[in-house]
Amino acid sequence: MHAESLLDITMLHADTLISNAQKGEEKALNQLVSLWYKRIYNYVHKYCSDDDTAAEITQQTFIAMFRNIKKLKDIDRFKPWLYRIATNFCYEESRKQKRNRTVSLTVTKEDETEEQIEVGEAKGNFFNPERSFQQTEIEGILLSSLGELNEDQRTVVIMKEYEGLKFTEIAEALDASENTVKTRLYRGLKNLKGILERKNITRETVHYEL
Amino acid sequence: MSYKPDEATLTSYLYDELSKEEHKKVKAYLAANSEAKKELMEIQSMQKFMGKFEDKEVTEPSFVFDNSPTVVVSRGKSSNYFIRSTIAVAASLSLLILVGYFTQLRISSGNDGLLLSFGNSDSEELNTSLNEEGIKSWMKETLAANNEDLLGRISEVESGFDAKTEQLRAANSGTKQLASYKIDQDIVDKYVSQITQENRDIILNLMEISGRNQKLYMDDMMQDFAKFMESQRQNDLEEIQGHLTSFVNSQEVNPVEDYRNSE
Repeated sequence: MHAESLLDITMLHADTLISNAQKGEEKALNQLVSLWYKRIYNYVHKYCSDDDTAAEITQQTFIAMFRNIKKLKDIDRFKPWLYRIATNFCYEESRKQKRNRTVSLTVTKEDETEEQIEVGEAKGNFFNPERSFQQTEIEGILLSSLGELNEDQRTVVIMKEYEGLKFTEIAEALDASENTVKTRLYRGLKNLKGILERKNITRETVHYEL
Repeated sequence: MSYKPDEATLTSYLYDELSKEEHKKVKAYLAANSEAKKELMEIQSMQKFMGKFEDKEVTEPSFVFDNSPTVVVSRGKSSNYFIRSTIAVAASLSLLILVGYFTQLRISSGNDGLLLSFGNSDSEELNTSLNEEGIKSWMKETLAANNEDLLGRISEVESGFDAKTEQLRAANSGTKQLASYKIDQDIVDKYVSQITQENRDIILNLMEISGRNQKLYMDDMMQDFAKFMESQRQNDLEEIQGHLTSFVNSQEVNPVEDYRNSE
């Protein structure tokens, strides 16, 4: 699912870039942004399922990265450290939204043959006319389903399934043990399966391969 | 005791992160527990479905990282970016026009280039005087004044130096004269011979004086000696006389027996 691209390989060997960024080199800082912006944006977008919020949080993440990069002692920990910053901002945004939310996402399943999904106004617009309707629908369903998981499970599922972080990296980013991360992931995947089943998204209905 | 893997172990199994032995155990467990196996398979299927969620393509904005409290971010593409940037540009232009109106901003272009001015037109006179000729003459005046100042300082230093030199000359006039005197070998020889002659004269005088003195001294000494001898002689004679007298006297009293008689 998360194939290692040339970009991933570049990211893995960005030690020089990070140490230059720590020295305050603006070019290095901007290169780090170029390398990591898309990843962090997509992670945050899957977490909060809103374009503008994702952009805002991603921007805040990189500003925080700039302000705190000198404190990072071990360059090898840059990736989990960056994801930790993004996760913290996501959690903060969730808490703000909980305080301000007036409409919540609801999923209603009327019967076995018919399904109705109502998207609350508190969430952003999932649908991009440029993309295929089916693709958009799948993304919408997945986003809303992920949104139903609790914070901890949602974070771990996205980090592992979409960002391809190792268990050690997730553990470091969330300041938890590997066992805890694995347990949360299993429960998150199990719960997500239940949520998708309630939306009638199963192997049979969506025709996805084993 | 039957083996039952916990959720963490099942997760490791899902992601193929178990050792061979652990993997065998879990596989055996799943083979024996259809419910657990079904659940795991459904999760695996769902993972494939989740993979259909593609990444969004985004353009990262360019950040201006500096140490000010806020970091400037120029946003890239966004749904409202165009509208926001248009409004921002329009607002900035309106503000500039307003400021220009209230400050009586004038923009003119001429041979000298683009001129910006504020306020009333008197300032133009000031601006026109700042042309090339004016600048050249100003530079000349400045340089001339600078040179004059430098020359004045140099002459002060020179006069000070001369005065100092004179003082030193006055203090060391002999040596200076001697030092500055062009030494001629004949003069040196003459001088040396003069000194030699003088010295010889001095010595001779000294010797003469000392000779005279010595002579006088010797004379005195001889005289004294003579006197001494005379006096000694006199004393001796007197003593002899005395002795003789006493002898005679004694002979008169005690005649001397003829020793022949004593035999």
